[in-house]
Amino acid sequence: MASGEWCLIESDPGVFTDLINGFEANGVQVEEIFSLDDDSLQQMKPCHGLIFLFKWQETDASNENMVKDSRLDEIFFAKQVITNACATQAIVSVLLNCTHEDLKLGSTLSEFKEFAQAFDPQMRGLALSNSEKIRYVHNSFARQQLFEFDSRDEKKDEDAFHFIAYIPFKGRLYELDGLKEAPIDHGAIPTDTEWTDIARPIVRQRMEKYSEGEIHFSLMAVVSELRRKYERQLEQILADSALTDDERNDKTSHLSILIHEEERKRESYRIENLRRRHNWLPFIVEMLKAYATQGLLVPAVDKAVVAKEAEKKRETDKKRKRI
Amino acid sequence: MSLFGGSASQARSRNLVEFKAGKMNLRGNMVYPDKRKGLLYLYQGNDMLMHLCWKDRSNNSTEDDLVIFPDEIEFKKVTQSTTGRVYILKWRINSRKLFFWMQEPKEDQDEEFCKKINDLLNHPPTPGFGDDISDTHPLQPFMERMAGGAGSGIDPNDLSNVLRNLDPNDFASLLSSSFGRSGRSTGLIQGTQHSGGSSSSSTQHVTDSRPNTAPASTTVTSTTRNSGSSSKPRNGGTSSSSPAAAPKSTASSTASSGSKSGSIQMSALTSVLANLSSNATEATTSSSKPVIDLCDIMTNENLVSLLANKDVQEKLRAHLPEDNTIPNTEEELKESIQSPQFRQIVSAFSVALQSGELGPVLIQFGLPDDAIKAANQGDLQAFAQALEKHYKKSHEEKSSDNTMDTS
Repeated sequence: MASGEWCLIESDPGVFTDLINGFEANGVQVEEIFSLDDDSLQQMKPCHGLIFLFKWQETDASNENMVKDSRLDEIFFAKQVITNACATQAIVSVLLNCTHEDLKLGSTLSEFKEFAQAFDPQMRGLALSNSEKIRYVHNSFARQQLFEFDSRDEKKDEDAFHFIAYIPFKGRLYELDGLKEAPIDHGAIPTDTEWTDIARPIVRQRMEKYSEGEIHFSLMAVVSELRRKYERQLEQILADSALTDDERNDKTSHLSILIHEEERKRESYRIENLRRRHNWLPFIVEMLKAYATQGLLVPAVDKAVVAKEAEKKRETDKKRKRI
Repeated sequence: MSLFGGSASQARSRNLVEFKAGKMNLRGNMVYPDKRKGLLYLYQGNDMLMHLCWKDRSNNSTEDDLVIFPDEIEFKKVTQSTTGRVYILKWRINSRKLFFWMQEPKEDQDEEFCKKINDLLNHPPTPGFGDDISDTHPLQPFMERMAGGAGSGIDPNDLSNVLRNLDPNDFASLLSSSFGRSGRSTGLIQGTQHSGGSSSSSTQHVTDSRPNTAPASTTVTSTTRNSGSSSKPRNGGTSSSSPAAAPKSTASSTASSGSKSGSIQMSALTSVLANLSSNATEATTSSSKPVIDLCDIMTNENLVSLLANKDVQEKLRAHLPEDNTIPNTEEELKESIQSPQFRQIVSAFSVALQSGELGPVLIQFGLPDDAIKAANQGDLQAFAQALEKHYKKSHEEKSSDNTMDTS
């Protein structure tokens, strides 16, 4: 891997959460949001940022509400310089703009923020792409490139993922799109309103637009670490003398389940990561040998070839009919 | 201040060079120009990589997008025939070639376009440092001879001499190298990379005397024992790479048919083909092999049979990720095999195997020679056959020592 190169990583909440921890930031995790309508966002608050990812390179041309004033000095916005670094860029953008007490930014990101604060968005993007530490962590989640094999086609399919972050900042909602020149101001967040309630229609609009075009997208939320939240709640409940025993038991068992869920989640992220980084080549070879030994290999391969050819023929026929 | 210029904010900058040009294709056994009006253009992405693309002008859709690295290719005119404006894009590191024919109404810019393509691809613009364009690279001997034929066009005898001296694989690549949908650059890869895809190039001979028309169709008949037909590269899921079965040359004595005035030269070509010795036991056209994802063969049914054998289980478990906290059990084995992470790697392995890349890597596993050979040729079926030939037999021979768990 050439120095300076950023590898493709999976867009997966486990990867992103571990990425954040890899940057030595603590106190937050990334969760995937499947629906804006239910109360999943509500349950996971406090939410520090939304990351909308979609499979498209085109960014809409509108430049409305672009921030042009001195707020540019305060909001950390970086232009996208390297496609593969997209995900990390979005996550870092959310983290560097977050002032919530739950988030402990850690030295790597704090130093980076200090360093890049004075730059313009272009230079910040460049600084990010040149940050050895950040890149190193990012690349540790890379898809395995086992064979000195530059699967650019894989990249072509995947690198069309684009990331847009939505953050609350000093009472207003902003959209951070690395392909644009500046943050977009979506207006003030009324007091006593959750910022996510304001973001919801805006994100939904995007979702609808992409659904129509059958464009894949995902929504992720950067939230305070859930397990810690549940543990705090558990403590409070145990200390609450106003509750009846029954009420207390109910709540504590409920929270215990949630805590257990979180532990299980973290464990599966860890295992997934192990699997991601493992060199599977000896295993695959052994497996192929075993298939061969049992005479399963040739029939299976032949069958697959026939199926593929039939599929191709169907496609060619379809094309011919169109012409 | 902007180090990358205004274009960094977009996915790509405007084209650095573009001109009207058509592709050339292999369809079935026939090689002829793709008559569609196209545009060959070059742009530099915001990842600083150079993209050479071809798009269909009638519907404005870009069909091919190749990333090309410096010193990877040469772009040259292939014949001195004044009416044949055919150009070759040739890779240095292997025998891959692609052909185009100019569609610009006037010829006077052809040379300039050709030079620009070469210069830009071999010396991509680096922001802030200026372009440093040096002399064009020396011609490969083959190309020199092709281009240096006396008079216009190429003397058939000369052609056959040259072709006879070509390595059969090179020659097959000449016929069948493609500019498929997923053209992949080989800049970072050592060794050969065979490209697959649904289209291919013709030989360089152009005989049509009218300007701006496509070169005459040329045909090369080849016997193929492989029943595969042209197929599109697999583009599913997370591994979307081109098929890349190795092209193999074939022996053929059938005369060419269907070409116009080019038929004399083409029959010389086909007789040359007939004389070429082929080291392939199986004749195929490179575009005919569909790319199989080995994940598809790892069905539940197969897995159950496989894992029923305790011996197999043990061998496999030995290669699972080592971690004290993960129990090294059968359950874990099954889960690993079914995990998306594992499957993604199997897909990548499948593509690499079928692109002929894995031969050198697989040698270290002590696989039988013909399996390695098949791997070098990217032939999955031959690979499978070689493995079974070797392992199934030895398994059966050891049947008295059966460790099969049939309970």
